Amino acid sequence: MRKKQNMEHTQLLVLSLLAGEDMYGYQMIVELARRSDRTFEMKEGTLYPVLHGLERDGLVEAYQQETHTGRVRKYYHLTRRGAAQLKEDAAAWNTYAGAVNAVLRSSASMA
Amino acid sequence: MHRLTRREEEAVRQELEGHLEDHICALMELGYDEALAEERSVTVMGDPAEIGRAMDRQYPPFWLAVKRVVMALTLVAVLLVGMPLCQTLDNTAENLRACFCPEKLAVVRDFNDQLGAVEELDLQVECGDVTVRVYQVGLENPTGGGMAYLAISAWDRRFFAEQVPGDATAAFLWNRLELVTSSEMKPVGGHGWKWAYIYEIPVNYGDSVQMTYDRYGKKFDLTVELPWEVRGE
Repeated sequence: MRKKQNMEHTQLLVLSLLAGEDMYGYQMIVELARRSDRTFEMKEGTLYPVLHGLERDGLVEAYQQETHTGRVRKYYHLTRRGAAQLKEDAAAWNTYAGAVNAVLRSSASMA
Repeated sequence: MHRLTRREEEAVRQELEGHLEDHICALMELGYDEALAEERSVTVMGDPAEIGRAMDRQYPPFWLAVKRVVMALTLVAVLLVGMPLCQTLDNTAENLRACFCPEKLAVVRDFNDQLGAVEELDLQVECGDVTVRVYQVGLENPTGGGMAYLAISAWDRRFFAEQVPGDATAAFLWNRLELVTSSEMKPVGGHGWKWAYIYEIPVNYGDSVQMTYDRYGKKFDLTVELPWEVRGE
């Protein structure tokens, strides 16, 4: 269950990253660590099954691009369906986080 | 990764290797030596077996089976459409050869290379959509008798016609064509292709060959003179 939750959070984070620009896997890991001030550091290999799942569901699509050194990188692009999913997931997350915060605040005021 | 095709597996492997390479380069830029950078990158990548299992979960169990079934069906469809098409084209090519250059299909010397006389002819007769043409005759002994050889081609004016559409096409024609010499002798052998045939028929000196076809409302008669030479006294 915890693993599933992690995966769903990773999905939300990945969709959120791709809303800004197309990225390749390693770039996402670096960006995620930077934006979360290293709060979200994951086993890097676990990102790829998430990306492939998103691709299978049509939330992202992949394309290949050659680097200046001639290496081919696989970039991921957020689809319209992915953007809609991101909006929905973000709203659900905000509701959830808001509810948790509300409980924490009420607990703090009672203490 | 048991649910992925070989190509998908290779793509995943390349993607993960690219990731490791990016990470190693980044760490080396920060001052790590190569061995340490590699070790660190592999460690933070996680357990390969776990990554493989997680990757498998992204592909439904029947995914690979579905892909293989689709590939097999595609192959069957290609064979079903492609093979008849190849046969039609092959048939058409031979039909065209029979029309324009039958000697490339067969000549009488293919059957007997000890002929005393060979003559090129162009005797044509139409039979339905098929044109029959005697294009070469040969004699074993042009001053005696022995065997005569007649090379006959036939082509369908519908060049894309099936091999045996029903009545007087070439392949069918060979079985119905009757040859008889003026001394009442009939062929003793022959060698046929779809659109060309060489008949071997015993002859007496001076004989001609009568070709007759009468089947399914199509008929023709054709007399073929042989290249006899005048006997010396």
